Amino acid sequence: MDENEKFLDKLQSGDQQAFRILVEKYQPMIQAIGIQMFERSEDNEDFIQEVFIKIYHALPNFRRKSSLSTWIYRVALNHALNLNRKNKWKKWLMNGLNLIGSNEQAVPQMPGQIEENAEQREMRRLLNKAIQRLPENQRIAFVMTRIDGLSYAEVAEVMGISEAAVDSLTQRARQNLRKHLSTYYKSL
Amino acid sequence: MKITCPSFKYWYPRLKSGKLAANDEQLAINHLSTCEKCRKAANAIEALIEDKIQPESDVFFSARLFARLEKSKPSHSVFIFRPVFAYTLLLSLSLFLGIRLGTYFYYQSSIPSENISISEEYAIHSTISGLDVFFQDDFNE
Repeated sequence: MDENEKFLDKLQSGDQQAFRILVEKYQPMIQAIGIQMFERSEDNEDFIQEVFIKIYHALPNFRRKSSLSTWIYRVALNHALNLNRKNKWKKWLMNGLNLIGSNEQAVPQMPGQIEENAEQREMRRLLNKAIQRLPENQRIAFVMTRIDGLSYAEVAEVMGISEAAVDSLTQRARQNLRKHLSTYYKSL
Repeated sequence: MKITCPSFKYWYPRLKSGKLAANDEQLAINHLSTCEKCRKAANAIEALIEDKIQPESDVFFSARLFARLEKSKPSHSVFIFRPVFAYTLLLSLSLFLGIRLGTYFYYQSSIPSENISISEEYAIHSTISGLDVFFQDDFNE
């Protein structure tokens, strides 16, 4: 039995230390997904915690048909998409009730880029807004391929499509984002 | 297509996806090399789109997560005492009792039992049980 299998056995038997190792390994990746998937930064911490709670409860049912990382990314992406759908309704309702005074929302900070100027912040806000408008497949492909350290092959495995399809989706996402962002170029 | 600053939003995405006509493409490239404002906008857009995200670990995250996991552990209460079951049970019981009592009092107040014949009383009882037509026909014969 190799190390990976032993680690999975420990995880599935409820070993807290093994779960802590898993959290420390995957938290940065899940955070990177959340940063791009949500318009509001305060949603991100909740999102990461909820993903790991889901993983913790679902681990005993993990059937090892795919790799652990693929499964974790799928759980994270599905949860992000579900939250986005819920937030859409919530935002629509709040807008209807006039409870949101302004469209300005907190911009998720990129790790290591806390000291950015107002112009960059504005562009990043626009990018996050534009990402929300992408079709689901393009959004996932773009968000995943932007994360440093994730290969096209891994993204393809998570999405269950070929690497060429991932590349095509990413290109289309970039075209759509360019269209959206260049509309706002005067505000630069 | 006019390659000017105000029409940037139309020609720039087309330039990047190779959808501009050959002469427009050359005009767009020339415009970008001479117009600082459009060049700046184009560079900012490309930097944003091509930017890679460096995943960074948060050393305190696991402590926060484990504290929340402790709270979210399911309690081992008997299932009928869980709120959803208890409320459903209470609601069903009160509905059942309400209907029974309502039916009882309605018929108690509407039937003058002293002046009623046996056949009429029987018809009323069979109406309650949903067999009115069958019994009434028997008595009419």
